[in-house]
Amino acid sequence: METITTSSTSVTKDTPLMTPEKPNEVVENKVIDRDHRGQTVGDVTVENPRMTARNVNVWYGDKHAIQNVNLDIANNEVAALIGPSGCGKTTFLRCLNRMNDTIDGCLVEGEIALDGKNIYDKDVDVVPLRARVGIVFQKPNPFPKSIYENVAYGPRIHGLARNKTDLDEIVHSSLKRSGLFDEVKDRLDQPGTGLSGGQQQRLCIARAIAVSPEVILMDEPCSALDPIATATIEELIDELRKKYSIVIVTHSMQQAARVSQRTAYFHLGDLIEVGPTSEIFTNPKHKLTEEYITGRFG
Amino acid sequence: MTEHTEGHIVRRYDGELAQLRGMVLEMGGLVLFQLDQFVNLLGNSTEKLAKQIIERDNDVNRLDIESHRDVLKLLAKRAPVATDLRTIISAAKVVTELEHIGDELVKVSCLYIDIADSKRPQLDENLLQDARVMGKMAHTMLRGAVDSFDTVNLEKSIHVAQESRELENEFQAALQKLTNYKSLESDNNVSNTLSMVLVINAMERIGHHTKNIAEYVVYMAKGKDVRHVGLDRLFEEIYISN
Ligand SMILES: Nc1ncnc2c1ncn2[C@@H]1O[C@H](COP(=O)(O)OP(=O)(O)OP(=O)(O)O)[C@@H](O)[C@H]1O
Ligand SMILES: [Mg+2]
Repeated sequence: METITTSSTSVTKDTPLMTPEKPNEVVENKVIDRDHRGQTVGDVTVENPRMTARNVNVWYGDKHAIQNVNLDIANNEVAALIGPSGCGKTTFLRCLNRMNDTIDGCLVEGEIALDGKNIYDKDVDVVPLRARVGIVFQKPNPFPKSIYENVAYGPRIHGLARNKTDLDEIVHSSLKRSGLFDEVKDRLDQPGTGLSGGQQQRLCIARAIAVSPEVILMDEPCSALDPIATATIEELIDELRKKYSIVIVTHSMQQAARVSQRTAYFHLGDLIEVGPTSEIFTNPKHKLTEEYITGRFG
Repeated sequence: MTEHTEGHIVRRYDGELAQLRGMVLEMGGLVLFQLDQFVNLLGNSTEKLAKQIIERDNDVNRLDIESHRDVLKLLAKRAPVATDLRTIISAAKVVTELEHIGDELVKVSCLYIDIADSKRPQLDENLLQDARVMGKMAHTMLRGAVDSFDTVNLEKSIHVAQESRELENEFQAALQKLTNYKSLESDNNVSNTLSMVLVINAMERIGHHTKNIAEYVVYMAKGKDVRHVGLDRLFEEIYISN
Protein backbone atom coordinates (compact mmCIF):
# COMPACT_ATOMS: atom_id res chain seq x y z
CA MET A 1 0.00 0.00 0.00
CA GLU A 2 2.92 2.33 0.56
CA THR A 3 3.78 2.32 -3.09
CA ILE A 4 0.25 3.36 -3.90
CA THR A 5 0.30 6.37 -1.61
CA THR A 6 3.68 7.58 -2.76
CA SER A 7 2.95 7.23 -6.40
CA SER A 8 -0.52 8.74 -6.16
CA THR A 9 0.87 11.76 -4.32
CA SER A 10 3.27 12.30 -7.15
CA VAL A 11 0.44 12.04 -9.60
CA THR A 12 -1.42 14.79 -7.77
CA LYS A 13 1.61 16.99 -7.71
CA ASP A 14 2.47 16.55 -11.35
CA THR A 15 -1.05 16.91 -12.53
CA PRO A 16 -1.37 19.65 -15.11
CA LEU A 17 -4.94 20.00 -13.97
CA MET A 18 -4.76 23.52 -12.69
CA THR A 19 -6.49 26.04 -14.81
CA PRO A 20 -5.43 29.62 -14.14
CA GLU A 21 -8.98 30.71 -13.21
CA LYS A 22 -9.83 28.22 -10.52
CA PRO A 23 -6.78 26.35 -9.37
CA ASN A 24 -7.85 25.55 -5.85
CA GLU A 25 -11.30 24.36 -6.61
CA VAL A 26 -10.28 21.66 -9.02
CA VAL A 27 -7.27 20.44 -7.12
CA GLU A 28 -9.17 20.53 -3.87
CA ASN A 29 -11.78 18.26 -5.32
CA LYS A 30 -9.09 15.89 -6.42
CA VAL A 31 -7.44 15.91 -3.00
CA ILE A 32 -10.71 15.10 -1.30
CA ASP A 33 -11.08 12.20 -3.64
CA ARG A 34 -7.64 10.86 -2.93
CA ASP A 35 -8.24 11.05 0.79
CA HIS A 36 -11.18 8.76 0.24
CA ARG A 37 -9.41 6.30 -1.97
CA GLY A 38 -11.84 3.77 -3.31
CA GLN A 39 -14.73 6.09 -2.56
CA THR A 40 -15.85 6.51 -6.09
CA VAL A 41 -18.91 8.74 -6.31
CA GLY A 42 -21.98 6.64 -7.11
CA ASP A 43 -22.69 2.96 -6.72
CA VAL A 44 -19.98 0.78 -8.24
CA THR A 45 -21.98 -2.37 -7.59
CA VAL A 46 -24.94 -3.79 -9.49
CA GLU A 47 -27.61 -6.31 -8.62
CA ASN A 48 -26.75 -8.81 -11.33
CA PRO A 49 -23.00 -8.63 -11.89
CA ARG A 50 -21.34 -10.53 -14.72
CA MET A 51 -17.93 -9.23 -13.74
CA THR A 52 -16.69 -7.65 -10.55
CA ALA A 53 -13.43 -5.73 -10.25
CA ARG A 54 -12.19 -5.20 -6.71
CA ASN A 55 -9.24 -3.08 -5.55
CA VAL A 56 -7.65 -3.20 -8.95
CA ASN A 57 -4.26 -1.54 -9.24
CA VAL A 58 -2.12 -1.55 -12.34
CA TRP A 59 1.48 -0.48 -12.75
CA TYR A 60 3.59 -0.13 -15.84
CA GLY A 61 6.96 -0.27 -14.09
CA ASP A 62 6.79 2.70 -11.72
CA LYS A 63 3.80 4.20 -13.41
CA HIS A 64 0.70 3.64 -11.31
CA ALA A 65 -1.88 3.59 -14.10
CA ILE A 66 -4.98 2.30 -12.28
CA GLN A 67 -5.54 3.12 -8.64
CA ASN A 68 -7.71 0.94 -6.50
CA VAL A 69 -10.64 0.72 -8.84
CA ASN A 70 -13.82 -1.13 -7.91
CA LEU A 71 -16.48 -1.66 -10.55
CA ASP A 72 -19.15 -4.19 -11.45
CA ILE A 73 -20.26 -4.99 -14.97
CA ALA A 74 -23.88 -6.11 -15.05
CA ASN A 75 -25.52 -8.74 -17.19
CA ASN A 76 -27.03 -7.40 -20.38
CA GLU A 77 -25.62 -3.99 -19.84
CA VAL A 78 -23.51 -1.66 -21.89
CA ALA A 79 -21.07 0.10 -19.59
CA ALA A 80 -19.18 3.07 -21.01
CA LEU A 81 -15.74 4.05 -19.76
CA ILE A 82 -14.96 7.67 -20.40
CA GLY A 83 -12.24 10.07 -19.40
CA PRO A 84 -9.36 12.15 -20.71
CA SER A 85 -6.60 10.59 -22.75
CA GLY A 86 -4.18 8.63 -20.58
CA CYS A 87 -6.57 8.22 -17.66
CA GLY A 88 -6.39 4.44 -17.86
CA LYS A 89 -9.52 3.38 -19.75
CA THR A 90 -7.69 1.03 -22.09
CA THR A 91 -5.57 -0.27 -19.24
CA PHE A 92 -8.62 -1.08 -17.16
CA LEU A 93 -10.46 -2.60 -20.11
CA ARG A 94 -7.52 -4.86 -20.89
CA CYS A 95 -7.47 -6.09 -17.30
CA LEU A 96 -10.91 -7.58 -17.85
CA ASN A 97 -9.58 -10.32 -20.12
CA ARG A 98 -5.95 -10.29 -19.04
CA MET A 99 -4.67 -8.68 -22.19
CA ASN A 100 -2.18 -6.84 -19.99
CA ASP A 101 -0.44 -10.15 -19.30
CA THR A 102 1.23 -9.75 -22.65
CA ILE A 103 2.83 -6.42 -21.73
CA ASP A 104 6.26 -6.54 -20.18
CA GLY A 105 6.52 -4.72 -16.87
CA CYS A 106 2.78 -4.49 -16.44
CA LEU A 107 1.62 -5.54 -12.98
CA VAL A 108 -2.04 -6.07 -12.15
CA GLU A 109 -3.17 -6.36 -8.55
CA GLY A 110 -6.58 -6.99 -7.05
CA GLU A 111 -9.39 -9.28 -8.00
CA ILE A 112 -11.41 -9.43 -11.18
CA ALA A 113 -14.08 -12.08 -11.22
CA LEU A 114 -16.13 -13.41 -14.09
CA ASP A 115 -19.29 -15.12 -12.84
CA GLY A 116 -17.73 -15.18 -9.38
CA LYS A 117 -14.42 -16.76 -10.38
CA ASN A 118 -11.24 -14.70 -10.16
CA ILE A 119 -9.76 -14.62 -13.65
CA TYR A 120 -6.31 -13.93 -12.20
CA ASP A 121 -6.28 -17.23 -10.28
CA LYS A 122 -3.37 -19.49 -11.14
CA ASP A 123 -5.59 -22.19 -12.59
CA VAL A 124 -7.24 -19.94 -15.16
CA ASP A 125 -6.23 -20.54 -18.76
CA VAL A 126 -6.23 -17.28 -20.67
CA VAL A 127 -7.14 -18.77 -24.05
CA PRO A 128 -10.69 -19.84 -23.15
CA LEU A 129 -10.92 -16.73 -20.95
CA ARG A 130 -10.39 -14.51 -23.95
CA ALA A 131 -13.11 -16.37 -25.80
CA ARG A 132 -15.50 -15.70 -22.93
CA VAL A 133 -14.40 -12.09 -22.69
CA GLY A 134 -13.83 -10.95 -26.25
CA ILE A 135 -12.24 -7.70 -27.31
CA VAL A 136 -12.67 -5.36 -30.26
CA PHE A 137 -9.99 -2.76 -30.80
CA GLN A 138 -10.03 0.79 -32.01
CA LYS A 139 -8.34 -0.13 -35.25
CA PRO A 140 -10.04 -3.04 -36.97
CA ASN A 141 -7.46 -5.80 -37.16
CA PRO A 142 -8.73 -8.61 -39.37
CA PHE A 143 -6.31 -11.48 -39.94
CA PRO A 144 -4.74 -11.47 -43.38
CA LYS A 145 -7.06 -14.28 -44.36
CA SER A 146 -10.45 -14.68 -45.99
CA ILE A 147 -13.56 -13.17 -44.48
CA TYR A 148 -14.76 -16.68 -43.73
CA GLU A 149 -11.53 -17.69 -42.03
CA ASN A 150 -11.50 -14.56 -39.89
CA VAL A 151 -14.75 -15.64 -38.28
CA ALA A 152 -14.14 -19.40 -38.39
CA TYR A 153 -10.77 -19.24 -36.66
CA GLY A 154 -12.03 -18.84 -33.09
CA PRO A 155 -14.78 -21.48 -33.16
CA ARG A 156 -12.32 -23.87 -34.73
CA ILE A 157 -9.56 -23.50 -32.15
CA HIS A 158 -12.07 -23.56 -29.30
CA GLY A 159 -13.67 -26.67 -30.75
CA LEU A 160 -17.12 -25.13 -31.03
CA ALA A 161 -17.99 -26.80 -34.34
CA ARG A 162 -18.21 -30.55 -34.93
CA ASN A 163 -18.16 -30.36 -38.69
CA LYS A 164 -18.15 -28.04 -41.67
CA THR A 165 -21.92 -27.52 -41.56
CA ASP A 166 -21.69 -26.42 -37.94
CA LEU A 167 -18.86 -24.06 -38.75
CA ASP A 168 -20.70 -22.58 -41.74
CA GLU A 169 -23.68 -22.01 -39.51
CA ILE A 170 -21.59 -20.22 -36.88
CA VAL A 171 -19.82 -18.06 -39.48
CA HIS A 172 -23.03 -17.09 -41.21
CA SER A 173 -24.97 -16.31 -38.06
CA SER A 174 -22.10 -14.29 -36.61
CA LEU A 175 -21.83 -12.27 -39.79
CA LYS A 176 -25.57 -11.78 -39.78
CA ARG A 177 -25.62 -10.60 -36.19
CA SER A 178 -22.81 -8.17 -36.84
CA GLY A 179 -24.85 -6.82 -39.73
CA LEU A 180 -22.24 -7.67 -42.34
CA PHE A 181 -23.58 -10.82 -43.97
CA ASP A 182 -25.57 -9.27 -46.79
CA GLU A 183 -22.64 -7.15 -47.84
CA VAL A 184 -20.14 -10.03 -47.99
CA LYS A 185 -22.10 -13.21 -48.60
CA ASP A 186 -20.89 -13.46 -52.20
CA ARG A 187 -17.25 -13.00 -51.35
CA LEU A 188 -16.60 -14.91 -48.17
CA ASP A 189 -13.38 -16.24 -49.69
CA GLN A 190 -11.98 -12.77 -50.29
CA PRO A 191 -9.46 -11.27 -47.84
CA GLY A 192 -10.94 -9.54 -44.80
CA THR A 193 -8.40 -6.78 -45.21
CA GLY A 194 -10.10 -5.78 -48.47
CA LEU A 195 -13.19 -4.51 -46.68
CA SER A 196 -13.91 -0.89 -45.79
CA GLY A 197 -13.05 0.31 -42.29
CA GLY A 198 -16.61 0.01 -41.03
CA GLN A 199 -16.97 -3.42 -42.59
CA GLN A 200 -13.68 -4.54 -41.08
CA GLN A 201 -14.86 -3.40 -37.67
CA ARG A 202 -18.06 -5.37 -38.06
CA LEU A 203 -15.96 -8.34 -39.20
CA CYS A 204 -13.94 -8.07 -35.98
CA ILE A 205 -17.17 -7.96 -34.01
CA ALA A 206 -18.39 -11.05 -35.88
CA ARG A 207 -15.10 -12.71 -35.00
CA ALA A 208 -15.58 -11.81 -31.34
CA ILE A 209 -19.15 -13.08 -31.13
CA ALA A 210 -18.44 -16.28 -33.10
CA VAL A 211 -16.98 -17.87 -29.97
CA SER A 212 -20.11 -17.13 -27.91
CA PRO A 213 -18.52 -14.76 -25.44
CA GLU A 214 -20.22 -13.55 -22.28
CA VAL A 215 -18.61 -10.16 -22.29
CA ILE A 216 -17.42 -8.03 -25.18
CA LEU A 217 -14.85 -5.32 -24.56
CA MET A 218 -14.65 -2.53 -27.11
CA ASP A 219 -11.92 0.06 -27.18
CA GLU A 220 -13.11 3.07 -29.20
CA PRO A 221 -14.66 0.80 -31.82
CA CYS A 222 -16.08 3.62 -33.91
CA SER A 223 -13.33 6.20 -33.79
CA ALA A 224 -12.42 5.65 -37.43
CA LEU A 225 -15.93 5.28 -38.76
CA ASP A 226 -18.39 7.60 -40.46
CA PRO A 227 -21.77 8.37 -38.84
CA ILE A 228 -23.60 5.66 -40.79
CA ALA A 229 -21.08 2.93 -40.00
CA THR A 230 -21.08 4.21 -36.41
CA ALA A 231 -24.86 4.00 -36.24
CA THR A 232 -24.75 0.45 -37.62
CA ILE A 233 -22.31 -0.56 -34.88
CA GLU A 234 -24.29 1.21 -32.19
CA GLU A 235 -27.42 -0.58 -33.33
CA LEU A 236 -25.46 -3.81 -33.17
CA ILE A 237 -24.23 -3.04 -29.66
CA ASP A 238 -27.80 -2.51 -28.57
CA GLU A 239 -28.75 -5.84 -30.13
CA LEU A 240 -25.76 -7.66 -28.58
CA ARG A 241 -26.70 -6.40 -25.16
CA LYS A 242 -29.63 -8.81 -25.09
CA LYS A 243 -27.16 -11.69 -24.82
CA TYR A 244 -23.90 -10.21 -23.61
CA SER A 245 -22.42 -7.62 -21.34
CA ILE A 246 -20.52 -4.93 -23.15
CA VAL A 247 -17.85 -2.58 -21.90
CA ILE A 248 -17.06 0.20 -24.31
CA VAL A 249 -14.36 2.83 -24.14
CA THR A 250 -15.30 5.91 -26.09
CA HIS A 251 -14.14 9.47 -26.49
CA SER A 252 -17.48 10.50 -27.83
CA MET A 253 -19.72 11.73 -25.04
CA GLN A 254 -22.66 11.41 -27.35
CA GLN A 255 -21.81 7.82 -28.11
CA ALA A 256 -21.54 6.99 -24.42
CA ALA A 257 -24.89 8.69 -23.89
CA ARG A 258 -26.46 6.85 -26.80
CA VAL A 259 -25.31 3.29 -26.23
CA SER A 260 -24.67 2.77 -22.54
CA GLN A 261 -26.84 2.25 -19.51
CA ARG A 262 -24.06 3.00 -17.06
CA THR A 263 -21.13 5.34 -17.40
CA ALA A 264 -17.85 5.34 -15.49
CA TYR A 265 -15.62 8.39 -15.49
CA PHE A 266 -11.87 7.83 -15.04
CA HIS A 267 -9.38 10.51 -14.22
CA LEU A 268 -5.63 9.97 -13.79
CA GLY A 269 -6.11 6.32 -12.95
CA ASP A 270 -8.92 6.91 -10.47
CA LEU A 271 -12.50 5.89 -11.03
CA ILE A 272 -14.08 9.20 -10.08
CA GLU A 273 -17.74 8.59 -10.64
CA VAL A 274 -20.07 5.93 -11.90
CA GLY A 275 -23.80 6.09 -12.37
CA PRO A 276 -26.74 5.61 -14.69
CA THR A 277 -25.82 7.19 -17.99
CA SER A 278 -28.87 9.43 -17.98
CA GLU A 279 -27.80 10.88 -14.65
CA ILE A 280 -24.14 11.26 -15.53
CA PHE A 281 -25.07 13.33 -18.56
CA THR A 282 -27.75 15.46 -16.97
CA ASN A 283 -26.58 15.83 -13.41
CA PRO A 284 -23.13 14.45 -12.64
CA LYS A 285 -22.21 14.59 -8.97
CA HIS A 286 -18.48 15.14 -9.19
CA LYS A 287 -17.07 18.39 -10.43
CA LEU A 288 -14.38 16.65 -12.45
CA THR A 289 -16.98 14.60 -14.29
CA GLU A 290 -18.99 17.70 -15.04
CA GLU A 291 -15.99 19.65 -16.25
CA TYR A 292 -14.91 16.84 -18.50
CA ILE A 293 -18.23 16.05 -20.14
CA THR A 294 -19.13 19.70 -20.66
CA GLY A 295 -15.77 20.36 -22.29
CA ARG A 296 -14.39 22.58 -19.60
CA PHE A 297 -10.96 21.01 -19.42
CA GLY A 298 -8.89 18.76 -21.61
CA MET B 1 -21.42 35.72 -17.46
CA THR B 2 -21.76 33.27 -14.65
CA GLU B 3 -20.43 29.89 -13.73
CA HIS B 4 -23.29 28.56 -15.80
CA THR B 5 -21.84 29.79 -19.03
CA GLU B 6 -18.11 30.08 -18.48
CA GLY B 7 -15.06 27.94 -18.75
CA HIS B 8 -15.50 25.93 -21.93
CA ILE B 9 -12.42 25.08 -23.89
CA VAL B 10 -14.38 26.18 -26.94
CA ARG B 11 -14.87 29.79 -25.94
CA ARG B 12 -17.51 30.50 -28.51
CA TYR B 13 -19.72 28.08 -26.58
CA ASP B 14 -19.42 30.34 -23.51
CA GLY B 15 -20.49 33.24 -25.68
CA GLU B 16 -23.49 31.44 -27.12
CA LEU B 17 -24.72 30.38 -23.70
CA ALA B 18 -24.21 33.87 -22.30
CA GLN B 19 -26.13 35.30 -25.22
CA LEU B 20 -29.05 32.98 -24.58
CA ARG B 21 -29.11 33.89 -20.91
CA GLY B 22 -28.90 37.55 -21.90
CA MET B 23 -31.89 37.16 -24.12
CA VAL B 24 -33.91 35.53 -21.35
CA LEU B 25 -33.02 38.43 -19.06
CA GLU B 26 -33.96 40.98 -21.69
CA MET B 27 -37.30 39.29 -22.12
CA GLY B 28 -37.71 39.14 -18.34
CA GLY B 29 -37.07 42.87 -18.12
CA LEU B 30 -39.58 43.60 -20.84
CA VAL B 31 -42.32 41.48 -19.30
CA LEU B 32 -41.63 43.11 -15.92
CA PHE B 33 -42.13 46.48 -17.56
CA GLN B 34 -45.37 45.28 -19.14
CA LEU B 35 -46.65 44.10 -15.79
CA ASP B 36 -45.69 47.39 -14.21
CA GLN B 37 -47.56 49.26 -16.91
CA PHE B 38 -50.61 47.15 -16.36
CA VAL B 39 -50.59 47.86 -12.65
CA ASN B 40 -50.49 51.55 -13.59
CA LEU B 41 -53.44 50.99 -15.82
CA LEU B 42 -55.36 49.75 -12.82
CA GLY B 43 -54.72 53.13 -11.20
CA ASN B 44 -55.71 55.46 -13.99
CA SER B 45 -57.09 53.57 -16.88
CA THR B 46 -56.33 55.07 -20.22
CA GLU B 47 -57.01 53.32 -23.46
CA LYS B 48 -53.66 54.49 -24.76
CA LEU B 49 -51.73 52.68 -22.06
CA ALA B 50 -53.67 49.49 -22.72
CA LYS B 51 -52.97 49.71 -26.44
CA GLN B 52 -49.27 50.23 -25.77
CA ILE B 53 -49.14 47.09 -23.69
CA ILE B 54 -50.80 45.11 -26.46
CA GLU B 55 -48.48 46.60 -29.04
CA ARG B 56 -45.37 45.90 -26.99
CA ASP B 57 -46.24 42.25 -26.63
CA ASN B 58 -44.95 41.86 -30.19
CA ASP B 59 -41.47 42.43 -28.79
CA VAL B 60 -42.06 39.79 -26.17
CA ASN B 61 -43.10 37.37 -28.88
CA ARG B 62 -40.10 38.24 -30.98
CA LEU B 63 -37.76 37.48 -28.08
CA ASP B 64 -39.62 34.24 -27.51
CA ILE B 65 -39.02 33.17 -31.09
CA GLU B 66 -35.41 34.33 -31.14
CA SER B 67 -34.50 32.54 -27.93
CA HIS B 68 -36.10 29.33 -29.08
CA ARG B 69 -34.16 29.57 -32.29
CA ASP B 70 -30.95 29.95 -30.26
CA VAL B 71 -31.92 27.04 -28.04
CA LEU B 72 -32.33 24.80 -31.06
CA LYS B 73 -29.06 25.97 -32.50
CA LEU B 74 -27.22 25.23 -29.25
CA LEU B 75 -28.76 21.80 -28.95
CA ALA B 76 -27.89 20.91 -32.52
CA LYS B 77 -24.42 22.39 -32.56
CA ARG B 78 -23.06 21.72 -29.11
CA ALA B 79 -24.88 18.58 -27.98
CA PRO B 80 -24.91 20.04 -24.48
CA VAL B 81 -24.78 17.90 -21.36
CA ALA B 82 -24.95 18.34 -17.60
CA THR B 83 -25.06 21.95 -16.37
CA ASP B 84 -25.02 23.28 -19.94
CA LEU B 85 -27.97 21.14 -20.92
CA ARG B 86 -29.88 22.19 -17.83
CA THR B 87 -29.12 25.85 -18.43
CA ILE B 88 -30.40 25.66 -21.98
CA ILE B 89 -33.52 23.69 -21.13
CA SER B 90 -34.30 26.01 -18.23
CA ALA B 91 -33.80 29.04 -20.43
CA ALA B 92 -36.27 27.62 -22.95
CA LYS B 93 -38.79 26.91 -20.21
CA VAL B 94 -38.40 30.32 -18.60
CA VAL B 95 -38.90 31.98 -21.96
CA THR B 96 -42.14 30.07 -22.45
CA GLU B 97 -43.39 31.12 -19.02
CA LEU B 98 -42.52 34.76 -19.78
CA GLU B 99 -44.37 34.53 -23.04
CA HIS B 100 -47.44 33.22 -21.21
CA ILE B 101 -47.24 36.11 -18.78
CA GLY B 102 -47.10 38.45 -21.75
CA ASP B 103 -50.24 36.84 -23.13
CA GLU B 104 -52.10 37.24 -19.84
CA LEU B 105 -51.27 40.93 -19.86
CA VAL B 106 -52.53 41.33 -23.40
CA LYS B 107 -55.74 39.58 -22.48
CA VAL B 108 -56.50 41.88 -19.57
CA SER B 109 -55.43 44.97 -21.49
CA CYS B 110 -57.97 44.08 -24.19
CA LEU B 111 -60.55 43.91 -21.47
CA TYR B 112 -59.78 47.52 -20.63
CA ILE B 113 -60.29 48.62 -24.18
CA ASP B 114 -63.65 46.84 -24.22
CA ILE B 115 -64.70 48.69 -21.09
CA ALA B 116 -63.68 52.01 -22.57
CA ASP B 117 -65.56 51.25 -25.80
CA SER B 118 -68.74 50.14 -24.12
CA LYS B 119 -69.37 53.41 -22.26
CA ARG B 120 -69.82 51.47 -19.08
CA PRO B 121 -69.19 53.36 -15.87
CA GLN B 122 -65.59 53.33 -14.71
CA LEU B 123 -64.52 50.44 -12.58
CA ASP B 124 -65.36 50.71 -8.96
CA GLU B 125 -62.38 51.74 -6.82
CA ASN B 126 -63.25 49.01 -4.36
CA LEU B 127 -62.92 46.39 -7.04
CA LEU B 128 -59.69 47.83 -8.35
CA GLN B 129 -57.97 47.80 -5.02
CA ASP B 130 -57.58 44.03 -4.78
CA ALA B 131 -56.40 43.72 -8.37
CA ARG B 132 -53.75 46.35 -7.72
CA VAL B 133 -52.49 44.58 -4.63
CA MET B 134 -52.24 41.34 -6.51
CA GLY B 135 -50.59 42.98 -9.49
CA LYS B 136 -47.92 44.48 -7.26
CA MET B 137 -47.34 41.18 -5.54
CA ALA B 138 -46.97 39.46 -8.88
CA HIS B 139 -44.54 42.15 -9.97
CA THR B 140 -42.34 41.69 -6.91
CA MET B 141 -42.38 37.96 -7.45
CA LEU B 142 -41.47 38.24 -11.09
CA ARG B 143 -38.60 40.55 -10.32
CA GLY B 144 -37.35 38.05 -7.75
CA ALA B 145 -37.67 35.19 -10.22
CA VAL B 146 -35.82 37.00 -12.99
CA ASP B 147 -33.10 38.01 -10.51
CA SER B 148 -32.80 34.47 -9.28
CA PHE B 149 -32.29 33.31 -12.86
CA ASP B 150 -29.72 36.03 -13.44
CA THR B 151 -27.63 35.34 -10.36
CA VAL B 152 -28.63 31.70 -9.85
CA ASN B 153 -29.72 32.61 -6.36
CA LEU B 154 -31.77 29.79 -4.90
CA GLU B 155 -32.74 31.72 -1.79
CA LYS B 156 -34.55 34.10 -4.07
CA SER B 157 -36.22 31.19 -5.83
CA ILE B 158 -37.51 29.88 -2.52
CA HIS B 159 -38.71 33.32 -1.62
CA VAL B 160 -40.67 33.50 -4.85
CA ALA B 161 -42.30 30.18 -4.06
CA GLN B 162 -43.30 31.50 -0.66
CA GLU B 163 -44.71 34.68 -2.13
CA SER B 164 -46.69 32.66 -4.60
CA ARG B 165 -48.52 31.13 -1.68
CA GLU B 166 -49.40 34.57 -0.36
CA LEU B 167 -50.60 35.62 -3.77
CA GLU B 168 -52.78 32.54 -3.90
CA ASN B 169 -54.33 33.46 -0.55
CA GLU B 170 -54.90 36.99 -1.75
CA PHE B 171 -56.63 35.62 -4.82
CA GLN B 172 -58.98 33.45 -2.77
CA ALA B 173 -59.81 36.36 -0.49
CA ALA B 174 -60.49 38.69 -3.42
CA LEU B 175 -62.75 36.15 -5.08
CA GLN B 176 -64.65 35.78 -1.83
CA LYS B 177 -65.10 39.51 -1.62
CA LEU B 178 -66.35 39.77 -5.17
CA THR B 179 -68.91 37.04 -4.57
CA ASN B 180 -70.30 39.03 -1.70
CA TYR B 181 -70.16 42.27 -3.57
CA LYS B 182 -73.23 44.32 -2.65
CA SER B 183 -74.01 46.47 -5.64
CA LEU B 184 -74.61 43.89 -8.34
CA GLU B 185 -78.03 45.32 -9.19
CA SER B 186 -77.28 46.94 -12.51
CA ASP B 187 -76.07 45.06 -15.57
CA ASN B 188 -73.09 47.37 -15.83
CA ASN B 189 -71.89 46.36 -12.44
CA VAL B 190 -72.24 42.71 -13.30
CA SER B 191 -70.03 43.04 -16.33
CA ASN B 192 -67.56 45.20 -14.43
CA THR B 193 -67.41 42.62 -11.70
CA LEU B 194 -66.84 39.91 -14.26
CA SER B 195 -64.03 41.91 -15.79
CA MET B 196 -62.49 42.24 -12.38
CA VAL B 197 -62.67 38.49 -11.85
CA LEU B 198 -60.81 38.03 -15.10
CA VAL B 199 -58.18 40.56 -14.03
CA ILE B 200 -57.47 39.03 -10.65
CA ASN B 201 -57.49 35.61 -12.25
CA ALA B 202 -54.84 36.82 -14.68
CA MET B 203 -52.73 38.10 -11.77
CA GLU B 204 -53.04 34.69 -10.16
CA ARG B 205 -51.92 33.01 -13.39
CA ILE B 206 -48.96 35.35 -13.65
CA GLY B 207 -47.98 34.39 -10.12
CA HIS B 208 -48.19 30.76 -11.14
CA HIS B 209 -45.98 31.23 -14.20
CA THR B 210 -43.54 33.17 -12.07
CA LYS B 211 -43.32 30.37 -9.56
CA ASN B 212 -42.54 28.01 -12.42
CA ILE B 213 -39.66 30.27 -13.43
CA ALA B 214 -38.24 30.08 -9.93
CA GLU B 215 -38.51 26.30 -10.05
CA TYR B 216 -36.61 26.10 -13.32
CA VAL B 217 -33.82 28.06 -11.69
CA VAL B 218 -33.61 25.36 -9.02
CA TYR B 219 -33.54 22.72 -11.73
CA MET B 220 -30.82 24.59 -13.57
CA ALA B 221 -28.63 24.81 -10.48
CA LYS B 222 -29.37 21.50 -8.81
CA GLY B 223 -30.61 19.17 -11.50
CA LYS B 224 -33.68 18.49 -9.44
CA ASP B 225 -37.18 18.77 -10.72
CA VAL B 226 -39.00 20.66 -7.98
CA ARG B 227 -42.17 21.35 -9.86
CA HIS B 228 -45.24 20.01 -8.14
CA VAL B 229 -43.46 19.57 -4.81
CA GLY B 230 -44.57 21.49 -1.75
CA LEU B 231 -42.64 24.36 -0.22
CA ASP B 232 -41.20 22.15 2.49
CA ARG B 233 -39.85 19.65 -0.01
CA LEU B 234 -38.46 22.50 -2.08
CA PHE B 235 -36.64 23.76 0.96
CA GLU B 236 -35.31 20.31 1.67
CA GLU B 237 -34.11 19.77 -1.88
CA ILE B 238 -32.19 22.99 -1.85
CA TYR B 239 -30.71 23.07 1.60
CA ILE B 240 -30.59 19.57 2.98
CA SER B 241 -29.58 17.28 0.15
CA ASN B 242 -26.56 18.45 -1.74
N1 LIG C 1 2.63 -0.26 -22.30
C1 LIG C 1 2.74 0.79 -21.49
N2 LIG C 1 3.88 1.08 -20.87
C2 LIG C 1 4.00 2.15 -20.05
N3 LIG C 1 3.00 3.00 -19.78
C3 LIG C 1 1.81 2.76 -20.37
C4 LIG C 1 1.62 1.66 -21.26
N4 LIG C 1 0.35 1.70 -21.69
C5 LIG C 1 -0.22 2.77 -21.11
N5 LIG C 1 0.64 3.41 -20.31
C6 LIG C 1 0.37 4.60 -19.50
O1 LIG C 1 -0.69 4.32 -18.61
C7 LIG C 1 -1.60 5.40 -18.56
C8 LIG C 1 -2.98 4.95 -18.99
O2 LIG C 1 -2.94 4.62 -20.37
P1 LIG C 1 -4.20 4.08 -21.14
O3 LIG C 1 -3.74 3.64 -22.49
O4 LIG C 1 -4.91 3.10 -20.32
O5 LIG C 1 -5.07 5.41 -21.25
P2 LIG C 1 -6.45 5.68 -22.00
O6 LIG C 1 -7.37 6.23 -21.00
O7 LIG C 1 -6.87 4.47 -22.73
O8 LIG C 1 -6.04 6.83 -23.02
P3 LIG C 1 -6.54 7.12 -24.52
O9 LIG C 1 -7.87 7.76 -24.35
O10 LIG C 1 -5.55 8.07 -25.04
O11 LIG C 1 -6.58 5.82 -25.25
C9 LIG C 1 -1.02 6.48 -19.44
O12 LIG C 1 -0.33 7.39 -18.65
C10 LIG C 1 -0.08 5.74 -20.36
O13 LIG C 1 0.98 6.56 -20.75
MG1 LIG D 1 -7.12 4.00 -24.80
